[in-house]
Amino acid sequence: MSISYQQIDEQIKQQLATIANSDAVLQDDTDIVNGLGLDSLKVLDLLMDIEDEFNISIPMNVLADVHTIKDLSEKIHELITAREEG
Amino acid sequence: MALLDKLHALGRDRAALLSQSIDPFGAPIEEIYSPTEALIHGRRTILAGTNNYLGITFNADCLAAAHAALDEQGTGTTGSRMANGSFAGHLALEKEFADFYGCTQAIVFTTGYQANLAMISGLAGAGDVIVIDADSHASIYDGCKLSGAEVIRFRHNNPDDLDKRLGRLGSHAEIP
Repeated sequence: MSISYQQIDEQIKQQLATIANSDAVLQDDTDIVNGLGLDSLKVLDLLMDIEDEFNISIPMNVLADVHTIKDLSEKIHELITAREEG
Repeated sequence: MALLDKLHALGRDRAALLSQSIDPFGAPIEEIYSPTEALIHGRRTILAGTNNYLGITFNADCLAAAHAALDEQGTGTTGSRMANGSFAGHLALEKEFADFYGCTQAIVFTTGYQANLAMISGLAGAGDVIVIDADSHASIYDGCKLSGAEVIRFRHNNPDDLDKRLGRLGSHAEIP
């Protein structure tokens, strides 16, 4: 059975919580780099973990449009859906 | 958002480094003594970060050739090759490289950064997939971005991870 958007979003927030500042608030509109006190290298490393968790590859080009947690969850949902349909 | 707002985070990082007397962008080379030594903040310092591996910046033959080129051809080509043509010396150097490597053609760029930018964006384009090591140099990332190709990263120096990511490409990896 295919994974739902809510499940993806939940897993991403859990992953982000492991590297975000302890006082960071993880909401849909939270900016992943600036809002969580992360540097971009740390985010890129985390993305590789997320790729492995969902067994997908997130093209670098796609990341230009990803700023918030919701953006990331939506992109990953799109990639998983495309893989399942493709 | 104002134009410079997105740079505030970088500014904060720089301020944090400066507060610890670390200024990675501000090492003034006051005098240069050799390929590997210079005066920085009044102190004779070994240049451990230079790419001057062969030390040719002070090689007598290189200095003489550079002086002769300046006298005979001026301080620069003052424009692109497409617009202004190619100097004979540059063409001769490229032919020498091509012969040495057994290739039909070679191109010499003024920096490694430009070489990667030009070659990657020239060879790859929209519809292609480039798989790169995650720790690739910034010039490789920029060349990939300029190409318009899809860019996938694998973990640094990790062939198993590369294999896994190639597997995920599926039909993308097929050569038409």
